Amino acid sequence: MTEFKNKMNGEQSRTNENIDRLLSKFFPPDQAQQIKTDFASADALFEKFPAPNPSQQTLTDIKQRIAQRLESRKHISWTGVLVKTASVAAVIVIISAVLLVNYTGKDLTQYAKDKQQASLWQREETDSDISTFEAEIEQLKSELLAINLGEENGTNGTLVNQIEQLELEIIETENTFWKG
Amino acid sequence: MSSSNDVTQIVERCRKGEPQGFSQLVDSYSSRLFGYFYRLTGNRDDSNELLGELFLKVVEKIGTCRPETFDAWLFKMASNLFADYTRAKKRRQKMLGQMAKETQTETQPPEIDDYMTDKLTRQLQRLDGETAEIIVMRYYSGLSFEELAKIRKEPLGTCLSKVHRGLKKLRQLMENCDD
Repeated sequence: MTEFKNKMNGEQSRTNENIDRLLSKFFPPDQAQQIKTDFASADALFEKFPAPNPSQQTLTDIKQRIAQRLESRKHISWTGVLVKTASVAAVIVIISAVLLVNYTGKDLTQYAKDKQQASLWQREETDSDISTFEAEIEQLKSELLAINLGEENGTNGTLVNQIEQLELEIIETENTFWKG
Repeated sequence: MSSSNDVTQIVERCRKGEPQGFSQLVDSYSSRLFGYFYRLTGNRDDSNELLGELFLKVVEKIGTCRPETFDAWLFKMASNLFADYTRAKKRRQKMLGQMAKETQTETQPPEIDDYMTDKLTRQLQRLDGETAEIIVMRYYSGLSFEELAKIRKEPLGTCLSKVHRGLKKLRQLMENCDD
């Protein structure tokens, strides 16, 4: 067997090709026959002038380079796995952080707004309570002072008037009671 | 290598990253691939370099090929590599030409080692690049015309005609040369 045929050894595609059927699809029978003859003579030409083979040294070098590349790929693949894992973890952390900020942030804002409104409302209520209490304390103080001074009319004489009113009511009640 | 089953097994081993698989691949395909590159470049050193580069590309990209179409995949890659080589060579020659113009010196001779190449290789070099490539691809890849048309992305009839016309021209060149 020639070198050319050796090269073609195992080439299922070409050897299984039905060249007659193929040529008949595209060319008239006489032309197809001529083309087939031309192909055959070209085959003979390539057989007559075989291409050289690569040297054994070349093949050994190629195999060594392949082995080195495979080694470095192993290393790179481990590094790659680590880098990929770290990247995925970083992405998860970033996404979680973004989601946390977006959703919890909204809740917190709403909560803060509610609290702020509530505190404003409470503050208004408290302010009015305080002013009421202050007014009452002020009034009590002045009345106490008036009592201490023996004035009939304190600051505004309310307590004295009330006591008097109360005494009158008691007398009237007693009279009414005894009258039946 | 004797059957497509063997190729499939070798490719599977390579895909697992087994050095022995690649070693088998080199043993099985280096002769045909070297022939392909040598016929097109006409230079042993360049062919050796392209062969080594191709197998390293195979190592990188073996995961992307389907074992059943491995030969077509491999020779398509070889074809792309040769196209890159041709472009780089043209650029280099253009650059050298410009430098020679500037310095008024002679350009370097072509890189084909004529004294060593055979008659067939020399005549193939005289064909236009595309025709030479399709002929060489046909004879070294072992692909059918159908597969060849597919990887070249052209109609089957066109592919057949190109090979036939190229072979006729090559035969004429072979008959007319003085060697």
